[in-house]
Amino acid sequence: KGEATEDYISNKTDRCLSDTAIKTVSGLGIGILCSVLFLRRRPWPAVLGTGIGLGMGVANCDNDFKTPHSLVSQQIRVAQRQNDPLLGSK
Amino acid sequence: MNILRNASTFQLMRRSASASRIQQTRQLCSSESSGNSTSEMPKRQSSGYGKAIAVTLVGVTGLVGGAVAYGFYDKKFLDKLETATGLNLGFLRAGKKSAEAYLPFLAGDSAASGQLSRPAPPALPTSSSGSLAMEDAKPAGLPGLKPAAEKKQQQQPQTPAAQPAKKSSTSNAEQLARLASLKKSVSDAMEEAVAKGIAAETKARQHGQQLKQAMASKADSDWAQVKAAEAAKDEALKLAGDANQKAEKLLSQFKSVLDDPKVQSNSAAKSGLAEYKTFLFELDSIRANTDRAEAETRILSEYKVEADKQQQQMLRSEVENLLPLDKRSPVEEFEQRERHLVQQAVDKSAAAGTAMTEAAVERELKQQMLQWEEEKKRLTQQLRESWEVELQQELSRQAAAHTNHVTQLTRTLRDQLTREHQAELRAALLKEHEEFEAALQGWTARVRGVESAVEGRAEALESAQRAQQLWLAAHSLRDAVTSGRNFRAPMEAVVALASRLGQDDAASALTAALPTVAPSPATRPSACAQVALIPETGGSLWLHLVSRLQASLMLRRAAKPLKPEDPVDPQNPPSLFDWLDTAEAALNDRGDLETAVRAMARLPGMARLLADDWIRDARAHLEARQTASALCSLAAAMGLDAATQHRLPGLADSD
Repeated sequence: KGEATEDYISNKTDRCLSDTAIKTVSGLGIGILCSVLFLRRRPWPAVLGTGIGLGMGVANCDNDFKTPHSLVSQQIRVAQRQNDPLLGSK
Repeated sequence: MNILRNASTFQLMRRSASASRIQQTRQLCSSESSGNSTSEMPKRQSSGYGKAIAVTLVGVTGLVGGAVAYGFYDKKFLDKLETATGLNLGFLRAGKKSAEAYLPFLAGDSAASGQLSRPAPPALPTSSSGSLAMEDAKPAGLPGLKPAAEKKQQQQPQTPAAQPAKKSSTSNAEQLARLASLKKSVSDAMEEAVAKGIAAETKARQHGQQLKQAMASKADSDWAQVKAAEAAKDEALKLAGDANQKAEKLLSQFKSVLDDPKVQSNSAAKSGLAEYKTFLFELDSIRANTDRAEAETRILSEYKVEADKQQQQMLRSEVENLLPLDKRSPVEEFEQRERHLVQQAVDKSAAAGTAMTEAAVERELKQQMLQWEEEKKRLTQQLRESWEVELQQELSRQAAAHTNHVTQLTRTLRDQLTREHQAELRAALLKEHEEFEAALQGWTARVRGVESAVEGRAEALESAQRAQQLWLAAHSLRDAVTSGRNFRAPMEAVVALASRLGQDDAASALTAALPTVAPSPATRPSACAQVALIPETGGSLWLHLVSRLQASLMLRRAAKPLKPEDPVDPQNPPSLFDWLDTAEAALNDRGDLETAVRAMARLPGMARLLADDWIRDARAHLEARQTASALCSLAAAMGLDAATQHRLPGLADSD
């Protein structure tokens, strides 16, 4: 089974938040790293990274939310008409 | 006819014997007159008649005696003589022969007679008759002998009278033994008597011959021989008499034993009677022969006495001639006296011969009568036996014919009755069989009806029971479906029960329509309110945030729930929140999932997308509930059908 449709938004939301958090932390980490490595531990790479991460996350969330849901057609399989007692005899 | 012929023959023989006797007398007289010195008679002139008679008498006597004597020694001649004369001369056959050999008439009728039919035999002639015996057989029934015969007859009844007292006490076997011993004794005595009789006869003949010879020769030596011969003859006669008496005695004893009633019933008595008759006849014959021989010699002796008297008379007459007292010559007187003597001798011999002949004839007649009686009895017995045999044969034939006829009738009747009985039996059996078959078929039909009724009832009950079980299973399934529990087990039970009822197709179709997943009764229509502002194609993040903010901050009024079937105002269409409220109201207040589904299906935008699964599950749930209801209906229908079949079996075949 796939996910429930009622959990569609919540799953999206969860993904968004998790993605944003990851990006943010990743940005922060990269910023810190860059800051540590290249920018003599200045705060602005961490903030930058954080901001970049956050923004990427938000943008990603936004993009994700804007993606339309794939339509799944419900196919009703017709039973055999010949011996169907509900539908009558042949 | 035999007796007449024998009588005529006897007459002829008597006459010839008379003639021969006369001639013999004349010869004797002539010989005496020529040879004897003491009794020398002068030759007389004999008449032709006297000589002829004497010669005839002597000749016949000699002829007959010679024939008999020759026949005694030659049996063939005796047979020829019997054939020629027709007389029974079997007594001349010497030897121990039984009566049946030469007296067959005695053997055939001894059983019929049982008694001695002959009169008692006369005794030996004791008185002198003075006549020459001519016949060869039976002694004369002379008057002098009758007292002796009567005496014998009187003795015979007395003798047997003394015996029954002795015989009564002995047993039958002892009597038979005694009978056999007596028979042997009688036979021996008869043989002895026969021998003595023959010897006596021989001696008598010798005496006669000696007397003739002496009369002819007139020698003293001859007369001495005559005396010696006479003494021998007397002795022989005495011995013969004694033997005869002994034989008679034994014969009487034998007869007394035969007369015993205990012995008469035995078959040996019959042969004994026949033998008794034979012995009696033999004894009579022996006695007759001895009497005849003695009579001959006696006649010769008397003739000699008469001749001596005649000589004396002649001497007297010669003396008288010297004194002529009579004119007649001595020769004429001698001739006259001779004639008278001869006439007397002839008369005497004729009388004796006549008497003997008559006695012999009478005896022979009696014998013949006895023989005829015996023959008659034998023939009668034979005829009776043959008649009885024929009658028995005829009766047996008739009985056999009757038996055959009765047997045939019986067989025919039996066959007919058997056929009728078999036909009746078959008909009765067939009828009974048919009745039994009909009854059996009736009972079988009844049993089958009962059986079918019972089976139908059982089937109906079973089907009703299964229908009940199916109904219960269907209701349990519906309850499970309605309550949202796992309805797999109830569903499988419903399928199994439906298959047992034969409605597995319908049940299978219905159960196949059941969803595999149990719909969740837990609904969260409230989650759809958070995406009220987002369309189906999605929205931005900001829009999502705003929609959430709106959902959290919106205060919804307790609006009147909408009805999905109500028409929609295009100017003022119901909002999302209206539909959500309707769905919540339907679920919370009434539990109407169908209205909720219909209301949720009217949600616009992303809310509809979010409620898609819920709608699907609700629909599945609704379908399951509907299927369960259909199964319940099916079970109810099946139960009704079973009940209908039980009450109205005919409707079951109307499908």
